[in-house]
Amino acid sequence: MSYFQKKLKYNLLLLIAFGILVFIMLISCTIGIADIGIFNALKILVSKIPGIGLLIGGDSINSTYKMIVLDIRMPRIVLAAAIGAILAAVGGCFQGLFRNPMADPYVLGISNGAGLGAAIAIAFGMDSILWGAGMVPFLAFAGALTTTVVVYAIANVGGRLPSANLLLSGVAVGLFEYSLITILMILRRDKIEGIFMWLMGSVNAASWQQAAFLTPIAIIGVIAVCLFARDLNVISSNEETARSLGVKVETVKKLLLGVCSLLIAVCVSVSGIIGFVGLVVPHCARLITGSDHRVMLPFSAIGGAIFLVICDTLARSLMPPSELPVGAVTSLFGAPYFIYLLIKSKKKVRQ
Amino acid sequence: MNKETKPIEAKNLTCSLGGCEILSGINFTVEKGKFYSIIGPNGSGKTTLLRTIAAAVKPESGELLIDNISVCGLKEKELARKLSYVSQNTNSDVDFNVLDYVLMGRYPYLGLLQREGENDLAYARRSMEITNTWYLREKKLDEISGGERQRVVAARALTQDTPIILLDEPISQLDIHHQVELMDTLDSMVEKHGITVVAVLHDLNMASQYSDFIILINKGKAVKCGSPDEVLSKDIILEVYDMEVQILKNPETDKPLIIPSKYRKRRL
Repeated sequence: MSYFQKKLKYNLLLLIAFGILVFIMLISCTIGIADIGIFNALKILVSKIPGIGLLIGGDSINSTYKMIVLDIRMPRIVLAAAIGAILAAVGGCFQGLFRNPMADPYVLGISNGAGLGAAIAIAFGMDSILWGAGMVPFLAFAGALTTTVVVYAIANVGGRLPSANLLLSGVAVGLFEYSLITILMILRRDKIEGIFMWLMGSVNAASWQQAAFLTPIAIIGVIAVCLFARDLNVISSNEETARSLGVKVETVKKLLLGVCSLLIAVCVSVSGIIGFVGLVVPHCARLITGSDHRVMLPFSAIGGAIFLVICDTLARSLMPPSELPVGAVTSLFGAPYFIYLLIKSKKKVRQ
Repeated sequence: MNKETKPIEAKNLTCSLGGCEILSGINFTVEKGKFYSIIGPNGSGKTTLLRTIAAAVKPESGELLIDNISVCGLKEKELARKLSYVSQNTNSDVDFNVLDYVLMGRYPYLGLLQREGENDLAYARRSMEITNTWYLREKKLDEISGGERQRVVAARALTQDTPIILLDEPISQLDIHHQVELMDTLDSMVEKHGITVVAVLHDLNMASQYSDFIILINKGKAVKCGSPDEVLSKDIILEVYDMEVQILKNPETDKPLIIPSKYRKRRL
């Protein structure tokens, strides 16, 4: 039966994509400013696999190299993959939910809320309290959640959340917060660079704690969103039809919005505002797999992970010794690829 | 329960949209296994009535019973297994596969983690063959014409496999061949499978030829409910539509055939 063969083909493709992700993560470990060499880097990685590790005998390798690969590069790569997966899956979900191709994870103003929180933390020197990044992620998370609540309260009409209201209130609240960020930057000129770099988004301060915290969230979150893929299919085709088919449109919408907002709030508070992934990766996935969210969402998630790992690898190794913000790299390399896909699909229609 | 269960029963139904009363005090009963048409001038409340039956609009007062149960008391999926609804607006800017779209009709039967199986595919195939859309299965929804889409949407409704089918102007975008084909399909569903069809129609002649009963709505009130012969009379059409018409008998079916007079003539 060709229908089931097609579904099988997509499952296989998904598996292959996952394999590619793992492969790229490993390759990325071997690339970097420190000249460790592919062979040594792989040796370090293999030595960590229980059982085989003893046979290799990784002791001969410089311990600084080990630290670079295992404690600096690896967590950063894992974190990038987790964030890429969340951003792309949420972007795909929002595009279906709002039936709007311009929707991205930040469309409800969550990013600017987090940005405002982070800007306040940096401007008032709270980034050195506690450890590492200090209060920045906490205030960013608080800002993101506050924004979400405010946007939903504004959009709410008698217990329902019409898409147009959500998008408009998201844009309005987001712009308001952005102007507050700008004013903060002017008032604390000495902190401009810090705030600006945070807003550009980066995973360069990644630690194993962060990676271990975000990876399970990404896996559970993406699976949770994918569980509603069929509902999302019906809703994205027509809300009225969805209701008549027995979809609890408002309940599904609120659930998905809640889950996605939380995911994005966590992401942004860890990495800042990494743009482009959540907007364009779902479109690329859609061009490859079609609109069926059951295929498109997992594809987006894996695609987002691959994309962000590649971009972050480029960001940290393109212009040594300085690093590019990953948010700049995503658009730099993603936009041409997306334009290529658009032109290719345009040709297909014309035929 | 001493009386027979009716598929649809409206009791003193009143609906408002945006503070404006659209339907006021509508009463009617729908018999099982019959073809019903809802007709009426533009803005008379036909679509709102259909949407109320589909529980997309909540009645302000009065009650709507499906199989003797108030629609408000039914769970979403329960209702979706009792009636399917084809809305007026079939536009869709997403590029779903036609077959995937038709399979959405199986939604009310599938659990959260369940996937469509052979059985569901068989339902989809059957209804696509009935509506003559099986050849479109590999196409994308945005690649087919408006008429094809209307038939695909009808196929989705049939895939839902419900005893009641509601359709809002299902033939408005079809050419005469496909109009008759779709109406014949619905007619045979009524006759062979005892399905109840309620369709909003604009074409009085189509309503006349295919309906067992016609519900005529004007200004939110049910003006008349009865057989085509009873409802489609010269006087009633003049009163409701402000149109002079000639009524002949269709030689093939003996049902009334309405021929509008030129509007200009009436004014002279």
